[in-house]
Amino acid sequence: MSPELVTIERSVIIEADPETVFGFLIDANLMAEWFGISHVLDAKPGGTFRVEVGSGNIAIGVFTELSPPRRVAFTWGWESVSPTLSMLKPGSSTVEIDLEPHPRGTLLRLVHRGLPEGLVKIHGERWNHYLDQLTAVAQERYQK
Amino acid sequence: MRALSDGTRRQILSLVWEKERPAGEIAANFSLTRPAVSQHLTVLLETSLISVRRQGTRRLYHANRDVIEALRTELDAFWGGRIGELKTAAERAQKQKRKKL
Repeated sequence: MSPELVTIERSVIIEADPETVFGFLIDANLMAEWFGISHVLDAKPGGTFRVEVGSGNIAIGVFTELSPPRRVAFTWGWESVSPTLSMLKPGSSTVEIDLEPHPRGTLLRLVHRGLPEGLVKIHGERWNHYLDQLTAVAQERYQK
Repeated sequence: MRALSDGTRRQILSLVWEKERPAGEIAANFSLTRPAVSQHLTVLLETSLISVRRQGTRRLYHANRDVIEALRTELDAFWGGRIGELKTAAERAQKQKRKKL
């Protein structure tokens, strides 16, 4: 009787090399340009992160895999004032991000697994937005 | 409420009120950097004042009109109430003044 869990997949092409994009995934100062208000990141396997995404909503996870500049994987959950987000406890879902060289730069693929149905829309929408933002800032940095 | 306190964010809301637009098109209306405009979009999105959907490779933003209307009703009730109180207080003061005369 366990509730049905959903996987979200997104892919974007970023006109920047994988090295540039990878930096934005693991460096707190770079992450601040596209995601979250405050950041504590310990980007190593087994290292944790706490990112305040919106006021009172803190995304928490553990890095499970880091292969610069191609792949990063981490667990994902929330400490939040929102009862909806709080349903997704830290450790209960996983995110994998793969970066592949592409003729135009990098193909980024994100897979978010283990989402309860009620949290799919909010996460899908947020990833749409944040990947759009990541694309913009990574391209800007790469062109400099 | 803080999300609406910023002029740029209010302009963004009016841009996506009638029509869905991608972030690049929104940014083109401002003399701000694209990341700066993105930060404003984040605030609006995190407070549910706007939504974003995918259409092929594009991501299109639009105002959550029902959320904004609800907020407006709330604001009207708040200020409406206060303005009512002010009116009562002013009329009372006026009456007292008349009595003294």
